[in-house]
Amino acid sequence: MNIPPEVLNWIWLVVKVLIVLIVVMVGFVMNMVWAERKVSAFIQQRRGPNRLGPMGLIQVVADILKMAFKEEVIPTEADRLVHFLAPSLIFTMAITALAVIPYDPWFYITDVDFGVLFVVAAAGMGAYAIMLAGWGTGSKYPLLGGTRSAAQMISYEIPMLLAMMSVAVMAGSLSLQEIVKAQSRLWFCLTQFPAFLVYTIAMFAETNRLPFDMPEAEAEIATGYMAEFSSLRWGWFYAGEYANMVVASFVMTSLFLGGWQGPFASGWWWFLVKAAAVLFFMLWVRWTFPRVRYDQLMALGWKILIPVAIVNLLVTASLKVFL
Amino acid sequence: MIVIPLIKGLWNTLRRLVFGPTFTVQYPNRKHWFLFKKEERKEIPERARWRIALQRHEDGRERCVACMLCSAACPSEAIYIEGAVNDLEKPISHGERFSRVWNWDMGRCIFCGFCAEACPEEAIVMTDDYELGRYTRDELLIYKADLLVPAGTPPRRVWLGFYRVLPPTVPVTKPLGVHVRHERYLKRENTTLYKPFYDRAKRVHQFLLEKGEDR
Repeated sequence: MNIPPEVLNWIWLVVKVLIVLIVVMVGFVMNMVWAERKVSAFIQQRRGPNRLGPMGLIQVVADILKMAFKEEVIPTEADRLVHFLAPSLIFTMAITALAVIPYDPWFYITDVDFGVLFVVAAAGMGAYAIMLAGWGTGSKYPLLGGTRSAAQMISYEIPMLLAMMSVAVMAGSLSLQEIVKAQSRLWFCLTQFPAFLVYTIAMFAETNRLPFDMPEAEAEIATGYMAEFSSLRWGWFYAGEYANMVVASFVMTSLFLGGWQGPFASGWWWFLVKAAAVLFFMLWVRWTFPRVRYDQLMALGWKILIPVAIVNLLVTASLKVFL
Repeated sequence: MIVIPLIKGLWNTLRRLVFGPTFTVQYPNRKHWFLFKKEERKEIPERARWRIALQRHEDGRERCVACMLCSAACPSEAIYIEGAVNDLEKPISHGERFSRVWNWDMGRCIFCGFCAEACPEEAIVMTDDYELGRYTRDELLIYKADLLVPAGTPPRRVWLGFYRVLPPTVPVTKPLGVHVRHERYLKRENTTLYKPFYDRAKRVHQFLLEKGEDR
């Protein structure tokens, strides 16, 4: 057997992709559904799902089965192609960003020089999925949700990108692996604290989570863009939301929490632990705060986060140049 | 500053998440297994009126003497009794008669507790066994064998708005005569029996004394 190294490389790449997908899909997205229900239950002093499997872990499988057997309803006014594409697009774009995440010094799918931009671009395409879903169903509440999502994404991607830029300036590179390596002495959540705060807030808006879940505000616009989806298409939106959360937590771990670098025994386990902690924080916040008003959301984005991020970027760049 | 209330709110939810007690009672029992919390039953008050049971004396004989008072008191006619005379060699109850058939129709029963109230022998008590669901109507008819407590079961007191002391059980070798039983009944302390029953017992006692019949 004399396999050329290129072929081996390809095989190894496919294996890596499969490992990442399985770990993220089964380990994170599925268990996030369970974790959300469990955390919300404990915060509200309930018990949460505990009938199916140990501590209700298999509940997710039952939920998926239930969704798969539900009737698929497509509105007559719907643009059938868009209605079909939107749920798959949101999930695809979420897992696209996983390609550039550095899980380990040796284990990552690719390490491109524009990793940060790639992540932001994938997240931006996720916003398109929501807008398409809002438009393609031909119904008023989803359309409202879609437009809200568009406005929110524009408002919050700017401070998020500015916060990422200041981190990139600190590290001197846009590659996520380089950024993680630059945090070997001190994590950027300490040296770049304003950017850390800005990213944390923008992360909630970017993943449409409470307190910024304007596109799917149940009380106002009846779950927004998801209103006219049913069966497994709705399931893809559900999974896409959690996949977005997982990606956001991975990015935050890489940018601000030192990625795979730990106080001792650095490795992928530190990456997963930190990502899980960030995810828990997202759940915790979701079940603590109520939804903000729409003008408050916009005011926070444009009047506070963007100025803070710009000033932080300027100060960081100045210090980097002049010191 | 808006940050301090936010942190307060986060601490509030975290406190409940970590230390907060959960109040939901995990009622249907399940086996203790890996990572399973042991599930519990609700505490039932002692005066609960659920499934009835037929008690026994300390010597293991049945308390029921087939007097039919419970059957008469039952507002929904849920109790059917057929009495029979005790075999003197091997008496089943302490009285002259014992209940050959004792059927309780759970589908008719309204769990009012009048039978336990009416019973002069404290034979019927209401227990805290509340798991009474059955799959068919036929299963709602409960027979004597399922109602009798096993021999040696400690006596359960009758609670129904007041507290009555169990009558003393006299070890006997033969069934007591009717009037002896009534005498014992009348001498009982702390009796708060339903007045008509008490009067009737008294009349029967007088009648038997006048007749001079004794065994």
